Amino acid sequence: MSVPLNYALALAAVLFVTGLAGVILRRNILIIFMSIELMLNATNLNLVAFSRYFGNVNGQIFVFFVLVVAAAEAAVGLAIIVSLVRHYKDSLNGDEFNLLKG
Amino acid sequence: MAVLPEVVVTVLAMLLLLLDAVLPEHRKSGLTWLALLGFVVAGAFNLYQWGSPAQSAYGGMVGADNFTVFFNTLFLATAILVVLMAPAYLRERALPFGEFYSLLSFAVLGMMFTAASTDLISLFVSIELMVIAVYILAGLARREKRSNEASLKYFLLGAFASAILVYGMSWLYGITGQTNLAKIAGVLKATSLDNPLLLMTIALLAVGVGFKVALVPFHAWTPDAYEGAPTPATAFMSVGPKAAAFAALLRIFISAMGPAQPDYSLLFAILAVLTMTLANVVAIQQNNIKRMLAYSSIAHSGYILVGLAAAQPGAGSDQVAGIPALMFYLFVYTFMTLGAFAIVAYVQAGQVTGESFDDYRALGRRAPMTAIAMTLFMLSLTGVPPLAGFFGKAYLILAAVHSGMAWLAVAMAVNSAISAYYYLRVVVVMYMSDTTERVPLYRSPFIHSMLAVASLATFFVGVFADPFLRFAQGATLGF
Amino acid sequence: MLLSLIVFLPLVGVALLLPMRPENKSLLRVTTLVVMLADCLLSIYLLLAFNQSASGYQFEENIPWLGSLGLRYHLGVDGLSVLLLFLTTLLSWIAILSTWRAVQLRVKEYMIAFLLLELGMLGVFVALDLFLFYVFWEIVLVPMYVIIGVWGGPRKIYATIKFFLFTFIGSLLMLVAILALYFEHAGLANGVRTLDVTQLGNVHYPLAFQIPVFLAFFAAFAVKVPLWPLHTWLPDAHVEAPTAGSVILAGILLKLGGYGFLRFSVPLLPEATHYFGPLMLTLATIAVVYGALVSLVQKDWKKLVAYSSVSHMGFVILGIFVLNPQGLEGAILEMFNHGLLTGALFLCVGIVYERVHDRELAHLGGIARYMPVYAAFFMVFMLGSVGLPGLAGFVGEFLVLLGTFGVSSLAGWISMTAIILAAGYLLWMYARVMFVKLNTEHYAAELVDLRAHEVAYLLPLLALVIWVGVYPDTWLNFLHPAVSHIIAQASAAGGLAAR
Repeated sequence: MSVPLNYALALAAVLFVTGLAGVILRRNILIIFMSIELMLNATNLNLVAFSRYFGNVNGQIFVFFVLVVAAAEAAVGLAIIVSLVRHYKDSLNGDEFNLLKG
Repeated sequence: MAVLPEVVVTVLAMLLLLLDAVLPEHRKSGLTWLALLGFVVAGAFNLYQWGSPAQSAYGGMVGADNFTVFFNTLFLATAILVVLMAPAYLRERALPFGEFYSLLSFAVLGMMFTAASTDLISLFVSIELMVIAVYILAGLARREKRSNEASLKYFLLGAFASAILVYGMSWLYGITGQTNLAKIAGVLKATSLDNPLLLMTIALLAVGVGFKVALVPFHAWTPDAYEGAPTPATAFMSVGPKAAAFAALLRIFISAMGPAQPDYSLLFAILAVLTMTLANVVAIQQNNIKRMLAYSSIAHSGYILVGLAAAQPGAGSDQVAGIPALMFYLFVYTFMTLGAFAIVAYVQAGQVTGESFDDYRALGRRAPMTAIAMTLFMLSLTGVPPLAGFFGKAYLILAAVHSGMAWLAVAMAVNSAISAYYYLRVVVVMYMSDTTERVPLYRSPFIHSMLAVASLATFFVGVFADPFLRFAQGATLGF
Repeated sequence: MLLSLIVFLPLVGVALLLPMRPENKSLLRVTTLVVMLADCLLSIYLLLAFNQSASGYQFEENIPWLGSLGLRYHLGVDGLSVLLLFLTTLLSWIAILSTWRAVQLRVKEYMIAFLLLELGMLGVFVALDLFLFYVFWEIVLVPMYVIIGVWGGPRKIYATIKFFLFTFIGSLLMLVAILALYFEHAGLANGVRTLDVTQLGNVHYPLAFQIPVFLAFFAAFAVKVPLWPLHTWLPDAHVEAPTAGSVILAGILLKLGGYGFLRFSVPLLPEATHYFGPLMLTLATIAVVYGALVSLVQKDWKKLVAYSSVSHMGFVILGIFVLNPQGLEGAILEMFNHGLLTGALFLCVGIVYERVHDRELAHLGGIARYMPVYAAFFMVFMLGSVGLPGLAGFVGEFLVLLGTFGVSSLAGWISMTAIILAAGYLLWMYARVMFVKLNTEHYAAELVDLRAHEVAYLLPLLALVIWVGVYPDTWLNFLHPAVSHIIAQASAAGGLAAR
């Protein structure tokens, strides 16, 4: 038996909103980063569900590219974070990065 | 071959990366010439394709038509001007040449593919290729805290925006069952536009791209990122990725969602007014010239968005539709903004920051030609005829009036007047105040030729606007 | 080609100046002067070659410019523009000559700014495509801004920003209106997209459309005139501007507003003109009296002349909106006269200021004793400005009043008082500065009488002031066809509205 489309979409929406809330509410930059990954994975779930629903593979191809992009983003993003943390003596609190008034 | 310019830029990026690894330190300045050569060759191939029938490549993932030729011209011109502006600054701050140029090439490649994309998948990947390279460019001065911080903020903001964008794309796929832009348009044409899911998708996509082009209220970190990044990178960020994001905006909202135009026209009109008004008001209060230009760049996003709000998909050959106005403005904006940032880079020589208005005191006496160029850029950004910026704004106002949104045109006019205040402040400081300080300025043939090109373009695209208007109009015939 | 030559000759001057060394001040000055004199000669030739009896535009040039949008490079002159063109080229070289010695700082930039300013002003008067007109209109703004801002007085930055913002906001609203006109015309004329004035006038626009467009034009033109209550930038700008800047500002820039009303607002938007006519007459009457009253209480010599401009330009607006031949011809002649007379008055103020660096009326006195020739010149210009018969000012004001009484005797009587007030403040000023015995020994040595170059630029003005006063027909003859054309356009639609 297969899972109805709406269930998958609802789960994806919950994941997406969780990620969204994490980005907006949390201050630790690693957690913000993980929240963004969560949002991407919500997208993947969406795409796979739609792909199965329509019976075409476009969505699944899209998922592969989103995964690749997420990996590339992670590589660059973590490097940036590491480089910054060196300057700020082991703090990961986003509020402390306030050299640029924003 | 449809993607020849892109192939040239790819090879260039790889070559720069390799040579950077093997060349001895003292010969690396040769990379500047290589980068210039590469971009010029790509530009020549690109212009050669003007007017040839539309082609597609990679199984319909990307296309090549006049639209892509226009944007590629824009991107390659941006790249060439940034390469010309960078060496003096990079040498002064001991930043790596090879990495800068190769990252620049990758970003330009991403931009070119963004404009060429005819499928959601390739569009997303191209945008990411562009922004990931730009994250690193922003943080290139990794010994500077400010640069690191700029890079981080730009990264978090960009990744967040991408996540929202791609979620919106997944819904677009879900609504239509297609990822090809033209097919999406075909499905949308046949369905009802009252679908609440479609409205949500429009909102998600608008927010995603809104972050990328720094629309209010999604602009919060942009000024920080612009201020902290190395100035040539800032110049590039404020022009290249923004133009590419507008190309993406056109691809998504016109190519794919053109039939839904009545749904989003008002949304973009309101966003445009919000963006230009808030950015202009905040820009007035800035004392750091890079931040001022950052807010100015946000305000210009607002102006450019007027073109999309006034767009009439399907009216491609109609000369006063919003899309050619938008594209013409991007063209004009490229030269004047890059020019202004180049002068910031120029004045920053030998100083810790060199970004406050006081550093521009009496520039009219210290460097007369530079001050004239800066005056030209500021006046053009204000929109004073006969400079290019004026014709850009006039064309956008024309489009707004044409689409029946006179209030939008008035808002834009009033905003131009507000912006005059802070642009003229630069002119006031340069000519009407004095200083005893004599800060040395760079002597670099590169930056001087760059300034010459940018100011001549700002002047001539204005006075002899017609061929450039036709260029923009010809590029939109596909819509 | 003659008009293009006249308009762009200053650009040749700029090209000549650019390679010159900034230290070589006299070469810079002489080059500028020669170019401007040549331009003035060309415009005199234009006056002579102009056919006074023909209606319509002459010396037309019409080539595509922004062809893809239907915008053209269309130049042409009628009697109205010919007079203002001549005034512009005349006052330009006079302005340069007047600051021959006063400006020593950044002479090269100064000269370039004036040449560009002249280019913009000339372009405004000959452009027959509204978009082209707008481009020239805005070009004027920047050099004027720079002239006040760089070579101005102590509060120059405040004055320049105020000047720039007032005029810039006004003109941007005008731009929106121009573009609206573009589409409205296209809609009414089978999709013909043009901003050519000669074609825009052939179409009848609905009143609901004319009203907002008229208001937007009003925002641009009334600020420039300046019409009360939009005049507040003017005294600041005048007080801070260098003498030459004041001469151009009062002599020509203010005329751009009046010209705009005459060329665009009245003929293209006739019903809105009738609709707003009473309001315009009221504002103009207030401006006439207000300017005169405020002039009475001024302590600063230059400010007094500046406020008298508000009063005189009020007459111009009055003359335009009474919409009869006497009023219109009077208004145009008054613009011409005001350019000559107020220009001359500012020059006279500048001459003394250059010597004693003081403009406080309370500090000055007894100048006639030291500078008799100057006193004589000044007296003629002052009396001309008062409106003494036989001098220029009288003819214009008389015609305007004649026209006004034909429409509203109330406005006529009220405006009449302004002439009496003008006699009051100008004669008082003259008496005060020239004759009152004051402890002036400390600057007596500075008060040398007119130098040769000063006579050289005051003399042509004097001659013209007397010429216009004694035999105004020379000048009025230029105006008859142009004025009757404007009246015809305005009343044709008035008839439509009545029906």
